[in-house]
Amino acid sequence: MAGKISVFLGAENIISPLGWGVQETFSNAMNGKTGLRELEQPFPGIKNLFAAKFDDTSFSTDSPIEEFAGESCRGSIEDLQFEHQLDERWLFMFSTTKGDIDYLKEGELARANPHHLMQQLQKELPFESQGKVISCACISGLAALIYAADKIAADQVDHALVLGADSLSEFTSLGFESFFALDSEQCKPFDKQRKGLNLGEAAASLVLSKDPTIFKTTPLQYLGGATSNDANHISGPSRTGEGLCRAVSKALKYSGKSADQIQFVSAHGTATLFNDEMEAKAFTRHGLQNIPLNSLKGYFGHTLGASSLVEVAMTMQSMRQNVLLKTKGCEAPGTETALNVLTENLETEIGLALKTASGFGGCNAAILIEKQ
Amino acid sequence: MAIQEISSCSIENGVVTVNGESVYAAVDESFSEFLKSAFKPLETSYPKYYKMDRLCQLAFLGAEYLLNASNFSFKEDEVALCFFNGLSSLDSDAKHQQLINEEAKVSPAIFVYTLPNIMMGEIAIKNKWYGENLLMLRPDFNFEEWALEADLLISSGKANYCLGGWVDVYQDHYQLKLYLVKAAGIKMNLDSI
Repeated sequence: MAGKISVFLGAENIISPLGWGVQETFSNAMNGKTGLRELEQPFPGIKNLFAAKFDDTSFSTDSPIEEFAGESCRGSIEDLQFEHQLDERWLFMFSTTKGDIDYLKEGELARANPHHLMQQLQKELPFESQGKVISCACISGLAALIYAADKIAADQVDHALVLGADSLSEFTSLGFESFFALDSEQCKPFDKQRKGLNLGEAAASLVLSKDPTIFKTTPLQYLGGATSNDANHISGPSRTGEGLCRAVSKALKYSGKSADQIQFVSAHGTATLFNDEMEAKAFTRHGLQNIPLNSLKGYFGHTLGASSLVEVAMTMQSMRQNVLLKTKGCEAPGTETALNVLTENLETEIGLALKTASGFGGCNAAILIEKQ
Repeated sequence: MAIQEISSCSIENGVVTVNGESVYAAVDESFSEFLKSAFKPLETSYPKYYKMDRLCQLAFLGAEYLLNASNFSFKEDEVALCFFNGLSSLDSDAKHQQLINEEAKVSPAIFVYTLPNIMMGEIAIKNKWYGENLLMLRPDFNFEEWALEADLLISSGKANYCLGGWVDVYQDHYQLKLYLVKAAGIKMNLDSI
């Protein structure tokens, strides 16, 4: 693909209840810790919730999400080194499902709109940027990353800071509860006994650039990615994994890779019965059933619009540190279509990783990341 | 610009306009009534339409009018959906929040519509489209900026057609501007580079 601009990926960061910064988060996960815990009366309408929530004392303003999302961006920017790049064309992508939704209860509609939050965060950045908000349910993070990469590859921007953030809210907690989608204990992705998901809050950010010298640490390479729709159901995953299967096919095609070159799969793995089975079918259709695979929802809960960026950042750390993390919560893998779910940490070098996500609205996304 | 418009549809103030011509008007109806009455002339038997929230109904309605007028047939993977939206799913968010405020039982049938991208799912299901999905929140609509996104999806080889534009709903406020575009002239595929 001569003439195509390469897209480098680095400066990954995570601010989550599991750790403040990507190093702390990754090392806590490697040691088997989780950000999930039993919360008593987290919201007026909910008595008990097993979820990942920051301590309230971590924040000093009335917008915790603005604080932890801003903190994630600052960490990413600290991992960059600038000569002339601050004056180049920057894109700031913010992916979220509900932004600062707590303001809705107070009737502050303008502040509840994620675009407002994006603008607040954008003001703090050390460069001028185009700011864009992507809201595509649980694929938001990957959708924003893919979009930013396509803009760089098309030479429309030079660099992109991609941020995902969602908070644990009464709004979403009660909604998922009404779906009977929540596990009242630690979630068990891909386990035979999986009963549902746990919710969580977090922010994750990373930088995409055409310029590998902007990163203080050697970057990875983004090869390609795609989104798709199941064209099947708005709240239930496809029984055949059709949409996810197609997203993976397209990501492989745009990356110039074949499925047998994939060495690791960072799955979505929400721990609901149907989602995990759907993923198992889609991966098996690509012959990926024996490739090491994990879900990280047992460490963070499902952080919705942040989740896929949290998992990309963790996958990048895995590729840098040569350690694949176990699927916390999964003791006996038990999807109908068997997968090679990691139930112990695995020390191994990974050159090519696949990251996927799926969400409400029948949407799916897949990207490929390579280490040179 | 490497794309060209095939057809367009706008819906506002009780009037449906397709390719610049008014094709349906019911200016005295409430928004909810209008969504029902404007669907009838399409003669589409689709019970799911009546279960959708108003944001999805408006997007779906616009897509149906647009596609009926363009008389195209599409392959499963070649249409990208790309929407700009101002207030997200606020119309349904407010209903869900109202139940919470009243300490009433929340409804999964409402909660599922508290995401703006669901409207793309509804259109994809109806048309059996497995293509790209992209939804951006922004305060207003600008056709040139939307056309740039459609152009990126098409010129990068991810789609041959792009359907989308602007859909925004909150209470009695609603506005839709949809476009169907395709590549103009010869297009470079990522494969062919």
